[in-house]
Amino acid sequence: MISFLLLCLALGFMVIGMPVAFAIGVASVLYFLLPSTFMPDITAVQRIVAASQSFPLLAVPLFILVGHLMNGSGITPRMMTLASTLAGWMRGGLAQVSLLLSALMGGISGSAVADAAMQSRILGGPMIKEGYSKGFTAALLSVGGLITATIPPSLGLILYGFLGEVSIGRLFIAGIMPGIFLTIALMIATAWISKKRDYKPVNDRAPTWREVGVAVKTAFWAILFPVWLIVGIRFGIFTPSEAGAFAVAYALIVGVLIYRELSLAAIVDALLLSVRDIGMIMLIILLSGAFGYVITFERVPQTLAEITTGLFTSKIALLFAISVFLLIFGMLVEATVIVMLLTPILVPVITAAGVDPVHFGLVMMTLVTFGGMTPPVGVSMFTVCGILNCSYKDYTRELVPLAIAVLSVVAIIIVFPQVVLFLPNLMMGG
Amino acid sequence: MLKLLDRAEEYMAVLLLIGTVTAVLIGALGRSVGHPVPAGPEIAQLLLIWTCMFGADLVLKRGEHIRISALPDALPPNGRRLLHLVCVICIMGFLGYCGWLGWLLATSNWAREMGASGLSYGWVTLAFPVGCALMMISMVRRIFEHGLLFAIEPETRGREQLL
Repeated sequence: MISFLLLCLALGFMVIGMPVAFAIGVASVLYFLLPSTFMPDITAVQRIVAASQSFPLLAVPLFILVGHLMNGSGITPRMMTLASTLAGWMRGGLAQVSLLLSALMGGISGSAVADAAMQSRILGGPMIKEGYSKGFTAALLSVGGLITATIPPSLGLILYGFLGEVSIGRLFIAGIMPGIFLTIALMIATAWISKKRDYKPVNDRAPTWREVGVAVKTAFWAILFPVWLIVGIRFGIFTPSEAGAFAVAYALIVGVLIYRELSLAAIVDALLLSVRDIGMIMLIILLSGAFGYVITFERVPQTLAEITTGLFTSKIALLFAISVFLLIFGMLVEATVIVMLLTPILVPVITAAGVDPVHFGLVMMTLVTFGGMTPPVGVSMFTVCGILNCSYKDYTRELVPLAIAVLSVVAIIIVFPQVVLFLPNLMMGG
Repeated sequence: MLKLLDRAEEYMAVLLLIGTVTAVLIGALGRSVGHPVPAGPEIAQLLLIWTCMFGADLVLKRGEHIRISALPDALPPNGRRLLHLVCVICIMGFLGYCGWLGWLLATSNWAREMGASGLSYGWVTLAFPVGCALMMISMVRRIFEHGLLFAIEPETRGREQLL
């Protein structure tokens, strides 16, 4: 009961506009100040400090830095060349190119918003000039980021794995198939829309093998990155956190020595941007340390698990119910916040019901990340509409077919867990 | 003078981040060539909490911590001021009280050593009260320089966010 009030208090602070990190921090310290709490207040600070002392958590700051370094390293334009060679001949050429670019960038970046912002700058203008409606352009570029966030490495999955104590390596590998499915589903939706509206291809014919070969060669070092990342984690050459550090080194080597586009000033810029992003995200994680402790201490997950296992007889019904809840919650609240608040509560609940936490992680992350692309509150939507100067109304109307594509993929993932799980089981054992 | 200090803080944070990456890298390289460096991960985690606290202060200085601004945005400026005032009071109270507790914690368990590096665990704990103190200073400065209306939000919106 007290913990329920605590959750409401934290949400209440967020509603009045208090920064999320402090809303969580203040609420949990108030719990320790209650006369009925017999734990000393200093425990709260102890938990906050202890939250930072985790090796797996290091993956978060490291992959944030990798993302910023890769942006300046000259990888993006090369990936763009490859994407337009591969998909430019299709109907709705530029739209298909953008989806393929999201998938390719997915192997390097782990952030949906960063991808959507980058694509709006590069492809937004050209698409609108080619006659694509503004709403469709904005909606497509924004939703494309979902592919980037699902294909490993994925910042969201690192956070989920850390908070839910789920193997980050397995989560990474499990993200591959849903990422491919999302790409295909969105490409089908785009093809259908392009046919209806007669959006033209950019190239007049399919590429020859030779052209594909040349494009692959220019982007070779960038494509190699996700491959060695997965292989390295699979064979235990490095843990996800160590992979983050190697990835930083790799980005520096590729950017400075091979592509020669990363200047010292750009590196300092990337570091500075990363430090800020890290400060923002990590403060939430640290201050959630005390919050998570209270939640566990009050046995919230166990109580919730008992209630839900009584309510739902089938795993699929439970997953669908949680999904609807996550989708609605995700439309209203920022993804990081939901992951932070709900992962420690939901993972024990679904594990008790017999659902694989890796499977659930992909469902949860896809839904809450997608929530950032929908009205009324969506960081991706705000970012893309801001850059393209598109109205939220046009955006929302054009989002509908793409949303159907995304949600069908989620439904497939829920009903057929093997879609997600067969790769990690195959590569890392069951 | 203040500008110089702000600049110094940014470079400090960047150096801490570089240190974190290097420590993880050394630990990982050591392990893969068969000479494990157990102090590597430990130092990395120590530097991480310092990076986080400095980074958090840099973000606070710019008023850019993630928040849900829908309700305050819907209010007239005076209503918004009131909400911001409530938030600022709670945040300052939190930072002051927890910072103080953190200081007590750091000084009281200074004798506790971390396993491999032999450094005092107090160095880890100390990051928190130092961070709280920095953020309190930045908060006061923000209120004086930007007014209550922009105490916890940037003057211009539209920054990109993660995830």
